[in-house]
Amino acid sequence: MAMPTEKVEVGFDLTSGTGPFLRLDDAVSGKLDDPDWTLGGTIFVDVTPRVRSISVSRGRTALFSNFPAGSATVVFNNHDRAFDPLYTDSPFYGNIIPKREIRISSGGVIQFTGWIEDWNLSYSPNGDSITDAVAFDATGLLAGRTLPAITPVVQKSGERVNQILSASGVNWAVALREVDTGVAELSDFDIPVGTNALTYLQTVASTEAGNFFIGKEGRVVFQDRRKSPTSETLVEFGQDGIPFQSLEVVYGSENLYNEITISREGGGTATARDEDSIQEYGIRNLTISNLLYSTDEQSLELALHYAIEFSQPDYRFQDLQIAVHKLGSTDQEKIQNLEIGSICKVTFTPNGIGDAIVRFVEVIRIAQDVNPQTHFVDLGFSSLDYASLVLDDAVFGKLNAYSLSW
Amino acid sequence: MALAPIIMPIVSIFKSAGVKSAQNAVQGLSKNFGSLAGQLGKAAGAFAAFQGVASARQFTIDSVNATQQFERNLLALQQTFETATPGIMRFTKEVENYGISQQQAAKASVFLGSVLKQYGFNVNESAAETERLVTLAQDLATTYGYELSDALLAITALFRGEYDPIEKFGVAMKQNEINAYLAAQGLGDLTGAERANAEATARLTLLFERAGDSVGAFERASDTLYGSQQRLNAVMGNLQVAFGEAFQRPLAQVNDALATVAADGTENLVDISKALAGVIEGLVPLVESLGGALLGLFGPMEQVIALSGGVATGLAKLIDPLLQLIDGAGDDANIILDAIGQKFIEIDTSMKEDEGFKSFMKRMKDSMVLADLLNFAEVRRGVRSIQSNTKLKESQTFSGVQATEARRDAVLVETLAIRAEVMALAVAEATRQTANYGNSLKNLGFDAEDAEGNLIGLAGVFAEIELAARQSQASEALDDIGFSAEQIENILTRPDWETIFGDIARLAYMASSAVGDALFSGEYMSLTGAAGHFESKRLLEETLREAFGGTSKKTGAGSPAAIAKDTVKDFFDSLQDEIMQQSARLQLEELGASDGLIGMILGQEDWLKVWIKIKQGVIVLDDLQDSFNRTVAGAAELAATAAAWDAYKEAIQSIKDELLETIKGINEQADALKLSFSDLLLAFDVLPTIAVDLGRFETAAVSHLASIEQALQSAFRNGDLFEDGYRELQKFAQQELKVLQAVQRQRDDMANRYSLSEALIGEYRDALAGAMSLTAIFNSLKDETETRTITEVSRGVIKLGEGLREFNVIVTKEYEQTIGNVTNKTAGLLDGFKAMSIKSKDFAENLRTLRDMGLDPQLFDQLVRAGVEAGGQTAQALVDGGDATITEISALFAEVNTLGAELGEEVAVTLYGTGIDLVDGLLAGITSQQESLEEEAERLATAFSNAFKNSLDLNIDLVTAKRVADATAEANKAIAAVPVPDSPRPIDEAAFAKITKLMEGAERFITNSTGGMLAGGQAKLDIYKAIAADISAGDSVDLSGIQSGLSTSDLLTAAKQSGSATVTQNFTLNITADTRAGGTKAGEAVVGSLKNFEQQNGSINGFLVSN
Repeated sequence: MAMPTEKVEVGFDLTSGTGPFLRLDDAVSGKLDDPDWTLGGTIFVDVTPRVRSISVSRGRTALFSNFPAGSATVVFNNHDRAFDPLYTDSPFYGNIIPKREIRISSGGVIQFTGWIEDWNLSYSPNGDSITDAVAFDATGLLAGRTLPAITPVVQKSGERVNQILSASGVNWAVALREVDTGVAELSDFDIPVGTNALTYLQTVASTEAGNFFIGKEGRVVFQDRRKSPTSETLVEFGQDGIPFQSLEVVYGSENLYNEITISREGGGTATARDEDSIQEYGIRNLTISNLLYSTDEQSLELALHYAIEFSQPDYRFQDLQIAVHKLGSTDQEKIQNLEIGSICKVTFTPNGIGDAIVRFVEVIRIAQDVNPQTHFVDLGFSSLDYASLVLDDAVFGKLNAYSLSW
Repeated sequence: MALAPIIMPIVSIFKSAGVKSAQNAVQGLSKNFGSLAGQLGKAAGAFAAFQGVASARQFTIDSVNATQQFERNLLALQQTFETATPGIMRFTKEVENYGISQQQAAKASVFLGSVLKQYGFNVNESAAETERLVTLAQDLATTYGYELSDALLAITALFRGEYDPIEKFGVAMKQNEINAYLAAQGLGDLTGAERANAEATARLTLLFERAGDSVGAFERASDTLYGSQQRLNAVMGNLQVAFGEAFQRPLAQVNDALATVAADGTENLVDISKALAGVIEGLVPLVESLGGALLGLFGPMEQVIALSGGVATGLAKLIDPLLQLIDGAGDDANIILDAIGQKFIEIDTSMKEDEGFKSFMKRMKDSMVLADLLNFAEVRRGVRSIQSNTKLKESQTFSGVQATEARRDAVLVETLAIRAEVMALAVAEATRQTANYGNSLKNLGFDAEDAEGNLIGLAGVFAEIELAARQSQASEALDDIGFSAEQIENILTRPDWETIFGDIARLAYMASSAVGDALFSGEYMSLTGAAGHFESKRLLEETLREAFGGTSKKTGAGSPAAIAKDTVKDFFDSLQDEIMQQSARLQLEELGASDGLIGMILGQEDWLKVWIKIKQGVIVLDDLQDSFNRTVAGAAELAATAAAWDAYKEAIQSIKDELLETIKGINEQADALKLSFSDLLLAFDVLPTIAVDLGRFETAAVSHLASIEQALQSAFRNGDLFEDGYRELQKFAQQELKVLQAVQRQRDDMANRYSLSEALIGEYRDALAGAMSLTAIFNSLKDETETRTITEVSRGVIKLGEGLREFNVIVTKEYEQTIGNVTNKTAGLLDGFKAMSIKSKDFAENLRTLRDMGLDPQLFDQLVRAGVEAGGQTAQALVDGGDATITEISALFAEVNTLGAELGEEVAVTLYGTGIDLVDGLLAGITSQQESLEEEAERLATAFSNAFKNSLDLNIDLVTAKRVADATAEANKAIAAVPVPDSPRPIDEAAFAKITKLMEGAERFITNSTGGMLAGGQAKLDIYKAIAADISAGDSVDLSGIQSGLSTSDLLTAAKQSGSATVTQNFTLNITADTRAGGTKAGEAVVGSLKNFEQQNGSINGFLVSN
């Protein structure tokens, strides 16, 4: 058990400095077409020796909210003013500026990719000097882009996502996308010019009842409603799994909705009511408007799905903390490979009393807090009681346990 | 004896050319410094008393510094305010009453003005705001008990955005308030210099808003001790600067003089400086202690000193105490003036305790004290008076003596005596000073004595120089008295020469006093005076005997003692002879002897014998005078006397002529002024109602009041009106024209009502007619489409699993459907018009109801102003509708149009309320009111013009009378100032004999005449008497045309042509008439008497004066 290897890299433009650039007449760095020795431009510089702490937060905390921008804060030692933009003798002089790319890895697995927005310098009278680099992922980039007028066709949500990402004004690289096909069929209503790209994409995700976020490596990720977990990739916590530090359980009316109203743009309104639940708990309404379905039937389908899932109180594992630095390398690797949308199994016997409680959950939030001696990971979950049936899978292929469709 | 080689070169500088030359070498310096020292001592002593300064010199130093500071402030003022400098200069002078001295104000203005300019204010804005801020600072300082400088610092800090300092002055402000203020002004986006200016302006505005309670605090405190003290400080500050200003020029001159000395003596000084180097530098702190604070005045000389190096420094500081010795009398002045200063303290103290203080303050403000104190010549005279009470007494005696020759001689004698006395005093004082100075030097270790105990050190040098200077001056005085060079040398080489010299001076003075007493008593020398005189002589002789007898081996005739005694004897003998002659001269003058005759008598060798014969009556002075007159010298004296009298007469006449011209000018000026006001009042006429222009009536009245006030003010400033009259007329005009203004205001109001009522009636007519607009109604008749919303609802139940869970599902869908509908526009137009007319009627009726119910007039107005827009296809729709539609619409429109006019009237009445408007039938009533007001205005204007003119004329006449009286008084004063010739005017004896004979004949005629003959005779006699009076007065009268037998009229004509100055045409007619019983008869009696007189004496021309 040891601390995983943490790494922080910042993209600096060190063309005029001592970076790994092509040098003529040099036996090693003078070879053409060697990707290790470029002509110039931004390169990621490992600044880990200067790091005091790292904190990363990605994902959402509420079920029906959109995914906010992921963020990371890295605290650097700045005793030598290396991160002071005014210090001309700094090795990074001229590069301590906003919008520098940053990459954070743990155990060789990238955990966050984004751009530094702020360099916050702090000088204490006792000589202790630090610099906070505050970074955000590409969500902010999408939020700043607007769409031209688009006349789409009736298409799957995944197709609509790709159309938007390829539209002029967005031009998101295909290599930086992980887009599912989608289940929902979207209408052909015109998209007016000036529509915000991020807002529209999040509406597509809501229509799909899927996830839209920026992945650990900086890719745009669109996951449709069909969760397709496999037992091989399943990460288990608790009994026979990875030990955790703490677990939060929610059981109440927080996610109790027994009247679901779904309306679509240019179409009708579908309402699904669980009369028994209403009689038992009173009306708990969830209204989602202006979805992009092409038919009212899809609205009704979603309303019914949410009514089924949320009209009764559920015993949910909401949050779980793992001390990564206490794990072996295998478990550390599992944790490091987790991503939003990952499926986990949590087995938990409260106080060792009674039968164990087993729940399958979907990761919706990952937060990491790294210090020289510790590395904690917080995972936020949503319930997977009604996940899709996966044929031939040891876990998700069981009948009467998972949904065929909705 | 380390000092010897140092001192000798210095002595040689002075001795090489003698003491006088040495003094000449530093003459410019000495003279300037002496003048300066005198001024310093005298004025500073007085001011120091006020300031509580320990020494007058310290005050002087402070004054000089303050003045220099002030001059620098003025330069800064010029640089800061550029073209606005004159205004800000005026301000710095005016704020004295606000407890701020000119130097303080200038300094503060530069301070604030610079800050304001930095924040983008131009020079004029900076000047205006600076004035406001300086006075505000004083108000804040007064309110919160801080110094003015604290308030100024707080204000400037505020401009920098520092808000804490101003908080202690009760002004709380924050930057976010400034930001909010700018945002409210729409200036929130400004940047750079514009932002800075906007913020400064905002701070300025908020500062005055929030310090509002303090504004005027100093004025409110003006009656308190604090206010008085602040003003006193301001006054004293200005006095101090004024005082210091007087020394700027002398100081500059001292600088120049010192530079000249340094330059002229450079060669020698450089030579000795090598030997003196370092040692003279060592002298500096020691000599400084002698020079004291006065050396502080040499600050400006540092440049000169720096140029000349240490030599000049040493020289300057050596010269300083020397000059003090030379100008030793200055310390006397200081003592006296310090006493005067003490008196000022006492006055100040006593005045603070009683009401007299205010009057004293007023006097200070009027600068009378300043003028007195800065009049150094007067102060010097006062010092001399105090130094010599005897001299003061004699001065008072002299003022009453008319005999100029005696006065001149006495003054000559007295001058010699006083000069000797002053010199003696100076010598005595110098001795004391020398002793003090020697002691000082001795104490300082700069004294050195030889084996015999003689001073050979620095003190010895100064003593030697001073001794030579005093002896030189004593020598001059003895020379003036009449001592020979040998005698003077004999006296001055004696060790006790100062005592001897003092005795001589005192005795000479006593002798002069005795001479004065004898001369001015009008008698021979009195016994007392004579005794004093001879006692003086005896004492002097005794003194001289003692003085010269002890050391001179030579005695008897030709010995110094004998020579000295002879000299004194001659001196006093000559004085005695002079005294007797002056006494004789006075008596001869009293007896009527002419100057020529007196001179002839006293000029003779044996004049005393002649004079004794005159006094004994052996020689009759008149005979002697007649004899003298017949001599060439006598004739010349007579001619000169006549010429002098002619010139005198001519001068008097010239003054009288000038007076007449002056009075004529005064009267013309008064007439012109009256005429100008007449024109002004004539131009003032109330505007006719037909010329209505809103607001003009009152404006005209106000404008005219302003014109009259301006004319009055101008007349007052020119002195054409007394202040009381000016105030009275101004008050009268203001009171009367206020009444007129009130009437005119009513006229304006009426005009306004008329105009507004007229507009309202038309407006409401249009409003209702507008409601009946066909085009608007047509516009509403469009083809209509109806949009209907269709809602589809699907319901169902879905069961989950095996019916364990059941869900009700509903799908709702809404969509719109449009249905078209074409309108019959002609029918619609007609229907719309009908509907609108009904609505309009109902509307009008409702408005009446609402008015009766007391609806607010403004709401009423709003209700009436409702209307519709016009459109395009109206005409076609009317045509399509045919004749019947047109007729019907026209009828409805006329009806509603009339209704609108009526409603407008009602609105007007409602808006203006009930009362006179309603009673007079609105417009007609208003017109009637206007005419009535015009008549009232006319009446008021006429009454005002008449009353004002009468009062004005009266006031102008008062000023004119005063001016005439003043001019006459001035002329009389000028006449009195014309010197009257000393000798009596010669009389034409032949002419006087002729006129005397004619008078005798006339008297005989009168004795034998009655009635008109008597009156005529009396008139002739009066003419003769007038001519005789002229001749007696010495006037030249030509009697060739004057003879017996002329009619009264002819005689008068001839008399006028004779050159007589006093002949007047006064006839006395005795007419008896009972004017009460019969007016006609009385008139006939008067006319009859006049005709009778004319028949007897010729025609009457001129004025009749009734008694």
